[in-house]
Amino acid sequence: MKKLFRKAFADSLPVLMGYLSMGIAFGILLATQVKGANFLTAAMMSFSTISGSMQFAAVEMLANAASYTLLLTAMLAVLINIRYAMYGISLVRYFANYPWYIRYYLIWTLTDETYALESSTTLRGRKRMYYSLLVSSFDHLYWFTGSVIGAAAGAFITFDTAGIDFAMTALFLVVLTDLVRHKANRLPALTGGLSTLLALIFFVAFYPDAVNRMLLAAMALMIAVLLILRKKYQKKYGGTL
Amino acid sequence: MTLHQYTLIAIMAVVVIVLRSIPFVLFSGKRKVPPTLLYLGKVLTAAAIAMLVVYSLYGNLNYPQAGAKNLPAGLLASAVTIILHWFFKNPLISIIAGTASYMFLI
Repeated sequence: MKKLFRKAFADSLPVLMGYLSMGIAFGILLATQVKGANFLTAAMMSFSTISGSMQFAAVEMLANAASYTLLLTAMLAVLINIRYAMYGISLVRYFANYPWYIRYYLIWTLTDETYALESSTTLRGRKRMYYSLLVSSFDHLYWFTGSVIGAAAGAFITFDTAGIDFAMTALFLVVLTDLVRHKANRLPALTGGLSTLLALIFFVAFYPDAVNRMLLAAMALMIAVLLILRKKYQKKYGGTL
Repeated sequence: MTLHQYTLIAIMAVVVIVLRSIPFVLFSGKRKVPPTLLYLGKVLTAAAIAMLVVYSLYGNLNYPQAGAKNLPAGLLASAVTIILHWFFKNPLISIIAGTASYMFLI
């Protein structure tokens, strides 16, 4: 058990660096951009959601909450996090034998990085279960701690923070850059980017008061294009799509 | 923080948890994943993140203090972020350098 604990902690160290710093960035952004948000808000979000891309997008949504309806928010959340619905597929056969409370905790805390560690381990049986439980708990704790520290620190930031919200754009650029290292992601990324640009231009030109709604149009457009071009994309990338 | 804001936080949390649970609820038996769903799941991540890039960049453009400098500053800072990340693969360095150059430029 002690050995397993040490192994899980050692494997999670890169995540510690990543989550702590990204969590701090999220916390600072939340506290400086959203009126009335403090470390408790950050704690609540990071404890329950545990998703970097979702929570960075949430900062913008909470800052302009009036223009986000419940439906738009739910649809955005689905699109931004759709990958999570795929992660479980390879883990179902392992998780099926775990007690329900462990299974639910593992499902709830399944982030990109946690998935990477838990799907690649060669451990089997009980050892695998405890390893996954430890990794999930560590990663959950890192993300939670980072964002609370960030939000608490953000309350004391008095220098001019104009432009700090670019951190959100930068985070998405970083995620996108990592994605397009894989050739199979390049055309889908281009489809998403161009669809959004088109929808944006259309709404700015014709409905300048309802630009937030352009996201719905962009989502519909990219899904339509991706489905229409499905055969082409799959042929181009062979078996990877 | 308004009630509406708390509701949005709750919706996002619930959607994420539901998405994470889907495979365990739907495909725990012998049922196969529909291929269209599998395809969409793979391509939509890159498409959605690209959408967020365009959308949040547009959000940056609405800074009242900066005016006309916004678009070139945003594009330049984006280039800094992408190039640094492509070569050094360190998210923190890329984000801090990109954001700092944007704050400096506007």
